[in-house]
Amino acid sequence: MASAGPPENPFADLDSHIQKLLKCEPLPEADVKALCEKAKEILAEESNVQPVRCPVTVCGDIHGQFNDLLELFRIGGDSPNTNYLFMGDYVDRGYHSVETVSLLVALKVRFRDRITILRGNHESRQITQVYGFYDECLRKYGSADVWKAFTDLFDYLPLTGLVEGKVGGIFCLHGGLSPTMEALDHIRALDRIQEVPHEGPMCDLLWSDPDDRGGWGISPRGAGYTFGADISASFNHANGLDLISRAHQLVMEGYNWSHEQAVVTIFSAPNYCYRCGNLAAIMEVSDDMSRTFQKFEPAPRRGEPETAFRPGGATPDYFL
Amino acid sequence: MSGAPLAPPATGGLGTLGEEDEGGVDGVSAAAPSPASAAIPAGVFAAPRPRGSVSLPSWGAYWDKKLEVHLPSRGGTFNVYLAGQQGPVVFCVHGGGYSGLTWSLVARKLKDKYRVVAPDMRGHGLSKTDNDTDFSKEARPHTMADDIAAIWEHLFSGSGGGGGAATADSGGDASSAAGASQQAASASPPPSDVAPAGILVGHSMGGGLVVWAAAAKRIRRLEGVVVIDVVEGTALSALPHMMNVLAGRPASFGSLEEAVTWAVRSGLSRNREAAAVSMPGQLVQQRPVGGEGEEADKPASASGRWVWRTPLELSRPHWEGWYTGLSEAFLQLSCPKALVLAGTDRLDRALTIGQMQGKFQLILMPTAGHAIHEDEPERAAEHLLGFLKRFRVGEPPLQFPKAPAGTRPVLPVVAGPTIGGRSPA
Repeated sequence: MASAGPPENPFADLDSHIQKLLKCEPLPEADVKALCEKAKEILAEESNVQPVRCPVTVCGDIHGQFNDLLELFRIGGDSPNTNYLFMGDYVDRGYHSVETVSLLVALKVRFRDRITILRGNHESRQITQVYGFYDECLRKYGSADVWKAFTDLFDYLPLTGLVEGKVGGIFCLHGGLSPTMEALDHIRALDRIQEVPHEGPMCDLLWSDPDDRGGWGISPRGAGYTFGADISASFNHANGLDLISRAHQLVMEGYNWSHEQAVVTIFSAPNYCYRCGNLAAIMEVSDDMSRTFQKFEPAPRRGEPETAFRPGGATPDYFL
Repeated sequence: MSGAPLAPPATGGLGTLGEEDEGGVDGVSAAAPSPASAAIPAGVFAAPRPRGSVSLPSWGAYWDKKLEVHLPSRGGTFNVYLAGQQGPVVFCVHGGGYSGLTWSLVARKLKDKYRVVAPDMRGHGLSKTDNDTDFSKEARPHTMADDIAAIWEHLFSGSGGGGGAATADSGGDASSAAGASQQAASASPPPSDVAPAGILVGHSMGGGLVVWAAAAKRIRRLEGVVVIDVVEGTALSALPHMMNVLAGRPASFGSLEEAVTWAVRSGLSRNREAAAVSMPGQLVQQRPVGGEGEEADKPASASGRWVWRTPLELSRPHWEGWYTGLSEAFLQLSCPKALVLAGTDRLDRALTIGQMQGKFQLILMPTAGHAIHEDEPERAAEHLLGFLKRFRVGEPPLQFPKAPAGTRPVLPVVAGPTIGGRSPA
């Protein structure tokens, strides 16, 4: 814009970042920080219940499995030619949390109307310190600054998305429902710009799970609740929804219906943790809100071990 | 013979947590090697000389009392430490080679609201059975897991318990000694008619045992299981190295202080206070002339080196039995359950899937070593308190929070009402 010469691509830097990231090369620290600042501005304008237009492809947990994210784009189509909605958990556990979250944030900044990135329970300072993202940032950048930049950004991620069609709607979020949030307007009224709390509605949305038992239950996870088919039906009815789409739980076939098709779980990290043997899936929602699931297997690996399960490490533990 | 001038209060189980015995312990320049010790092959790690003062706190500084629970049906007498007078039971089972004292620092944090119970398992600590090396799980009944249920029943199931008897010992000069000794007279069974609710907590080998004990469904009102740093896949694949690990330990120590110093220096323990109260429970003093004695509670002034109480090498045939099928058994337990690990890389496939499906609570404490509850007792106790509170152990079911009054559900403008939507149940 500043240039008076021939038209330049104002996104040239960003596009080159994206090209670099697509090769699984981390960005320099300064670029990451600038990217996070820009993303913060964009995400701050989004709603706790961010409206999303169809067609859109809805995805679940990625967990730093970068090669599988590329496989996802091969299956679902490139961004921005395909619209995407990611339901959180970009980091931790896999080997490439830095590249994964950098790429998704860069795509968000570049194509803000073409990709929506929600918050998962792993987009949190506390969780990332024990599940790998913090250590990976230290390893790749030599300091915690990049981790801090990302986790500060995570506070701005919207909590839920609403895919709207002519009839009904698909409510998308990472975890599940909260006993204190009966209406979407309750969620819209939350002050989300904060670390994920240990309890309360914001925690529940990122931690809860559907359950075969009716009503509300204490989640075995230690955070959030379990909710039964009666709760889902009531929520969908009260809010004019067709479907609750969520991630957060590993399902062996990549996706799984529950609560008489009032709830679907989508998990997009194939062979999770390089050891679980599960398929991944994405859900394509077309113009008329019809839904198609695509399942996929792990991408062929180069330079990654077959399994991350290295018990005991170099020095076996005393375990008796 | 070794003639180290040890202050009796420091090792006789009577000292309190403090520095009062510094003078006595200071400069215990660990015992010139005695003939007896020379005959014992040293481990690859030489036992270091204690430097400076090592204070050995008494069990009484942490526990209200210890009971000798006589269980003829189990073929022996189990030493059980107890702390706390009321509330749900927190029944803690130590790992292989440890004793109930491994829970001392955690017990101190829980005893205000909970009854902490920590037995010395068969072949460990001060317990005495007619088969101290029957560590089997396969034997019918599953020996050690059944010991757990029998001790619990004896302590908390009123008169229906194992038909044994118990004698109590109050906590030395601990502040609670007066109250404890009064209770000693009526120590078993406790006055309450109603069996209390409670949870099982197990570390390492004990973590396996509490899962098997819970799976047997003998314990009434069991409302939770917490397993600390043991995972089937990890344990099984580390088995081949375990004999080396055991062989790498010093075979004996000139004094308890020396043993504590070794535990800290070797990295086995990362908390000096926890090591100081836990290590003495893992050792017994030999008679000067051969003969492994049962003299653990005699003052150390009787010379003789300290050797491991539990011959873990003999338990080797049972190791696989302790752990095979453990992950699935843990996942199948219907009560709330938590797994406390020092790192995620210790999860095996079954537990990774189970965790990612939200079937249990995973608590990571990556700065601790294997004995998490010894290394970081305050945080471990906080997690246990959080577990007990969150899952309402011993409490009536939760009343679920409601949406704020006065806010009416609003239909999204774009979506509109559903056609033939489901009615709320």
